[in-house]
Amino acid sequence: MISTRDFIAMIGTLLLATSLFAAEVPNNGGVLRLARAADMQSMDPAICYDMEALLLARLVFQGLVDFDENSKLFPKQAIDWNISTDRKTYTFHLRPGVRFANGREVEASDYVYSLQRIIDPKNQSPGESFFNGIAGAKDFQKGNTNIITGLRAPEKHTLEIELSEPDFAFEFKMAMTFACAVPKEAVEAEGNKFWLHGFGTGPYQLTKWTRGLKMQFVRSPQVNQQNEGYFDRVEVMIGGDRALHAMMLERDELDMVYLAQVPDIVRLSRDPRMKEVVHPLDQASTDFLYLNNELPPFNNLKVRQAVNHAIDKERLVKLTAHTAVAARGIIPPLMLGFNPEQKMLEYNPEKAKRLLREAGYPDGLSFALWYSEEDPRWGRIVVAIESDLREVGITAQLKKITMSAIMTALQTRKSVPCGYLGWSQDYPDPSNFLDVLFNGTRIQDFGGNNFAYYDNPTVNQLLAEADRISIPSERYHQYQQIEKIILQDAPVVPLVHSAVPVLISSRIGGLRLHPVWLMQLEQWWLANEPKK
Amino acid sequence: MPLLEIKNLQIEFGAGVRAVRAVDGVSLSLEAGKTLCLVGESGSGKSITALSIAKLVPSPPARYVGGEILLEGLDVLKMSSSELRDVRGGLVSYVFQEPGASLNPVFRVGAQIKESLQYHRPEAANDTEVIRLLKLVGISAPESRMRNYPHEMSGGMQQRVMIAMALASQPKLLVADEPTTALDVTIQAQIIELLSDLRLKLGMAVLFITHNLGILGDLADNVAVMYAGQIVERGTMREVLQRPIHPYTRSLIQSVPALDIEVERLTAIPGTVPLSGAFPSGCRFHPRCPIAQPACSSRMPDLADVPNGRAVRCPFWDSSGNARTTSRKA
Amino acid sequence: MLFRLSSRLFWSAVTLLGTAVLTFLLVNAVPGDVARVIAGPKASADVIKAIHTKFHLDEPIWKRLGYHLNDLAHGDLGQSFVTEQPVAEAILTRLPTTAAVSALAIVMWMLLAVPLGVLTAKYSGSWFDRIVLVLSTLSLSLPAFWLARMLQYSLSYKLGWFPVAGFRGFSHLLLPAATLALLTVGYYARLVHSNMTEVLNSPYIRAARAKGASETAVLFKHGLRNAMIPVITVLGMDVAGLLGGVLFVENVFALPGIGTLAVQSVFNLDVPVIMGTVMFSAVIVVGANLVVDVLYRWIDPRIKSAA
Repeated sequence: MISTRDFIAMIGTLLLATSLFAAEVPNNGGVLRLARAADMQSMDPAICYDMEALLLARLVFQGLVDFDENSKLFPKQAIDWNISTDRKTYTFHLRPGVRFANGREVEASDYVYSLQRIIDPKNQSPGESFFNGIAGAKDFQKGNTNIITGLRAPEKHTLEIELSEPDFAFEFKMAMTFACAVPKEAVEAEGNKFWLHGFGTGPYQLTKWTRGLKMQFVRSPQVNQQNEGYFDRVEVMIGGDRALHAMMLERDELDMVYLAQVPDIVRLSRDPRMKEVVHPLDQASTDFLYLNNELPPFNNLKVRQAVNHAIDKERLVKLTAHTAVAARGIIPPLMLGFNPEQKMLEYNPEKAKRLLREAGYPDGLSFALWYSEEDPRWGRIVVAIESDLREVGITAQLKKITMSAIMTALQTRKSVPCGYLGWSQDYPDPSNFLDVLFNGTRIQDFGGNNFAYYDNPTVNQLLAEADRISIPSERYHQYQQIEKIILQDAPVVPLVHSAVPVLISSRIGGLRLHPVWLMQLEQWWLANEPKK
Repeated sequence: MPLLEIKNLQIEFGAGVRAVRAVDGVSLSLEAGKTLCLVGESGSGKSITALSIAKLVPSPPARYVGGEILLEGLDVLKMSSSELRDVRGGLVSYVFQEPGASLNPVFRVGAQIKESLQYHRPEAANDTEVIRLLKLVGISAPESRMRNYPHEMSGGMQQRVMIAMALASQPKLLVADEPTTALDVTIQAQIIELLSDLRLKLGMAVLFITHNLGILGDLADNVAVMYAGQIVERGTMREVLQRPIHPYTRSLIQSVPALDIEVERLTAIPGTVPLSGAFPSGCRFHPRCPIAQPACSSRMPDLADVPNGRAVRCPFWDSSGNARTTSRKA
Repeated sequence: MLFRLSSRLFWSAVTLLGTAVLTFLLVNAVPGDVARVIAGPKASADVIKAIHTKFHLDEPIWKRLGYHLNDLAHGDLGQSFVTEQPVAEAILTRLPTTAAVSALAIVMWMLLAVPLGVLTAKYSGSWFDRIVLVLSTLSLSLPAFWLARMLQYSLSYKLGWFPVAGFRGFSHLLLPAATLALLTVGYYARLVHSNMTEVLNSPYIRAARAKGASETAVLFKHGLRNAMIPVITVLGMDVAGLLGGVLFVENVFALPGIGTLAVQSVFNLDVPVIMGTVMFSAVIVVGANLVVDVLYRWIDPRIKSAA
C-alpha cells in the first residue's frame, strides 16, 4: 500500500526529475565502465573516505539526508528531521518502504547499529571523530557500556540522536557516507568483510570483487530513489595509470577518468571531437604551503609574510591547465561561508624582499619543502614556487616523498619546516577548515591536523565562540573574521583552489556537478553512443 | 649401359682465384651387380666423388664445374630436387664412416629405418619390414632392438642399422664410404663379410670407398686408386692388388698391414697428401715418388690405358722393375 | 644422482631464505607508513597506532623478520595489510593472467624465432640472414617499458587494432604478449640459428639427405629436433626470467597479473604482498631450474642413460 506521504514524496521526486531532465530522457540498460589505478581498501561505508572511493561506495550505500546542488541538506531516505531547542537532540523520521537490496525494510535500529559501528574503536573508522560527540559515545569506547545512550530508536521509523554538546555541523555529518545504513544481519554473518557480498540502500549492489582485478555492481532489485540506477551494471577495472585511462576513454573502452592529468586535459581540450569530455569539477578545497610556526625561519612572522608575497598564484593556475583557480582565502569559494571580499597577501616580490631584510635575512634563507605527487599537478606547482622564491632570495630544497610519508611527517611535531598539501571539505561548514587546521588547542605531538602548528590564543577563543553560534549568517561572519586574522598571521600560503579534472565519455547522460560529491554516478545513464 | 658412369667429373670449392679443385677429371664406370673399390688416402677426393653420385656434396660451398654423372643413363647433375630425392636412398643408398654420428640421436632406430621406407617404399613402411631388414643385416632380437636409440647400441650394431636403412629401398647401387674405419678390427671383418653376402644375395652394385686396400680381400671386382683429386690407376681388383703399377699404388699396398699384424699405417710413404689448392705442378705425386724424374715436376701425365684393361697416370710405370716384369708375365 | 638432487634442493632452500631476508630488509628500508595508506590522510593518531599494533609495526625489525620467516616456513604468506586478502589468494587469482600472457608470448616468439633461426642457418650469410641479425640485435636491446608504450600508442591508441588496456578477453592479451615476444624473439632466433648451423654440419644430416629426405624434413625433422635441445634448456630458464618483462608489460597494459600486483604492493608499502610476489618469483626461478634439469634428461635420450 502506498501511503499519502509516499505518494507525495513520489510526486515530488518525479517533478524534480522532470524539471531537471526536461531535455534528456533517461535510458535504462547498458554498462558503465570505470577504472581505478589501484584497488580500494574497502567498500565499507565506515572505512571509505577518499573521494574516488566514495564515488563507488555511494552506488551501494545511502543515508537519511544528503546535500543538494547548493550544499543544502534535504531528506533522502528520511521524510524530515527536527532539532530540539537545546540543539542537542536530533529526531529523524525514516521514509517507510526503503529497503536494503535483500528486500528487508530499513528501520531506525539499523541506523543505531550503523552509527555504533563508526564509533566502535575496533572498526578503526576514520569517521569516528565526527560522531564521538554523541552522548555516551566516550563511555562506549572505553568499554564501560555496550550501548550508546545517545543513539535511540523509539519507533520503527524514528531515530533519535542526542549529543553531549550542541554541534552546528552535526546534521552535515549525518549526510556523510559514514552515516549510511548497513544491514546488521549481513555484517554479523560476514564480519567486517560483509561488503564483499554487500548491499545497502543504494541503487546498485556489489556482486563481484576480485581483489586488485575488477569490481562489478548490478542494479539492486530495490531502487529506493526515482532518478537513480539506470545502468544494468557498473564495471570497474583496477589497474593502469590515469594517462592510460585517458587513452582508453578516447578509444571508447572507458566512460570516466577521475583526476585526469594535465597533458591529457590539454590534448583533449584542443581536440574538437573530444573537448566535451573534459570536466574540471570544482570542489571545496584549498592547497596550502604549511609553514611550521614552531620552527625557524617560520617562527618569524615577517618571513611567513614574505613567502606569501613572493609566490605568484596566477602563474600556478596556468601550470595546472586552468584546472584550478588562484586562492581567494583559506575557505574555498564553494564552501558555505566563503568571503569573496577577503583580503589576501598579494603577489609583490619587492615587498617580500623588504620583509626578509627586516626579518634579518638580507642574504636570503634556505629551507626544505616537502611534497608528494599524489596529484601530479602538485609536482608542477612546487617547481614554480621554488623559482618564485628564488627570485626573492629564498632557496627551497624540494623533497619529494610519498603521500603517506608526508602525512606522517607533517603530523609529527617539529619535523617538517614546510610542506605542501591540499585540504578538501568533509562537510560544508567553515569549521572544517578553520577549526581543524588552525585551532592551537588541537596541536598534538603526533597525529594532529594543525600542520602549521599555528597557535594564536585570540583565534582559539574566537573559534570556540563560533562553534556555539547556530544562526548561519552570524556563524559565517564570525568565521570570516577568524580567517582574516589567520591570513595576516600567515601560518600558511593559500595557493590554489583546485578542481578535480574528470573525463566523462559523451555517451553518458545525467551529468550534474555536485559541490560535495563532485558527481553522482548513481544518477548517470547511457545517453548515446560516442562520436567516433 | 653401365649402372653408373662418371665422366670427367670436376668439383671445386670456393670461387675465383682461390677456387680449389677437389675432384679433377675423374671418370669411373660401374656395371650393375659389380663392385668397385675407390682407394686413396684422406683428402684424395674419393669421398667427394662418392657423395657426388647422389649430388650430396652441399652446393654451396661446392660447385660442380664439369663432367657428367650418369645413373642408368640419366645425368644426376641435371636432375631436379624431387628427382634427386628419388635417387637418394632409392637407386643409390649410402653407408657412412661413423655410424654413431650418422644416425640421428633423437629418433629410435626403427623409426629411422621406417622413414627410409616411407620415402621409397611407402607400402612397406611397417614394423614387419623393419624387423625383416634388421634380421637381414644380422641383428638378433630385432623386435626390441628397433626400439633402441642409436646411443644404446655398439658401433658394429649401429653400422648394421645403417646398412639396413640403406637396403630399405632395395637400391641398385650401395655406396659404402669407409664403412669400417671407425670400427674395431674384428667388427670390420664382420661388416665386410655382411656387405659381401648382401651384395650377392640382393644382386646390387657396390661402390666401396676405403683407404685400406687390405681389408677388402676379394670383395671388389675392380679398383680405382685416387690421389689428389685424380685417378692414378685403374684395373681389376686382382690385377691391381697383385701387380700395382703406379708408384703410389705400390707404396699404398706395401704400407697396408695384414689384418692380424699391428703396423703403423702409411709410414712407408714419405710425406703427406698435398692439400687441395696446394697441388704441386706436374705430376701431383712427384714430391713423394721414389722413381720421380725431372720431367715429372713440369708436365701432368695423362691417365693412359695399358694392357689388361688397366689404366695408369704415370709415363714411367714401365721403369719400375717389379711392376713391369709381373705385368709381362701375365 | 640422489646426492645431486639433494644438494640442489639444499641450495634452492638457501637461495629462497636469502631472498626472503634480503627482500624483507629492503622493503623495510623504504620510508613511509603503511598505516597511512590503510587509514587515509585524515586518520587520527589513535587509529594509526592501532594499525601499528595490529601488524606488529611497533616492534623491532629483527623480531618482525622472525615472525615473517616463521610464517613462511609454515607455508603462510600472510595477508595484505591494505586489503586483508590472503597473499597466496591474491597471487593465485592473478596467476592465470600472467601465465596466459607468458604462454602466449612464448608461443609467439617460438613460432617466429624457430623458422627465422632455421632459415638463417640454412641461408647463412645471405642478405636475409644479415637483416634478421640486425633486427635480432635491435630486439635484444629494446627497453621493455618503452616498446610496450610505443606499441600501445601506435597500434592500439592511434590505429585501434587492439584494445588499449585492461582485461576483458583474449584480444586484450595479444599486444602484451606480442611485446614480450618481440623483446625475446631476437635472442631465440640467434640461438636457434647457431644451434642449427652446428647441427646442419653433422653427419646424420648428410645421412638424412642421403636417404632421400626432403629439405623441409631435413631441416625441421632431423635438424630442428636436435637444435632445439639446448634451446629448450634456455627456454626453461627464461620462463622464470620472463617474470621481469611481464612486470613492465602488465603494468603498461593494466593487465591484472602478478606484475601489477607487485608494483601496486610497492606503492602501497604492503609488505606481505611485496614479500609474497618476490618469494613467488624466487620459487618460480628456483623451480624452473630444477624442472629444466629433469626435462633436459627427458628431451635428450643420450643424457638419460649417461646419468
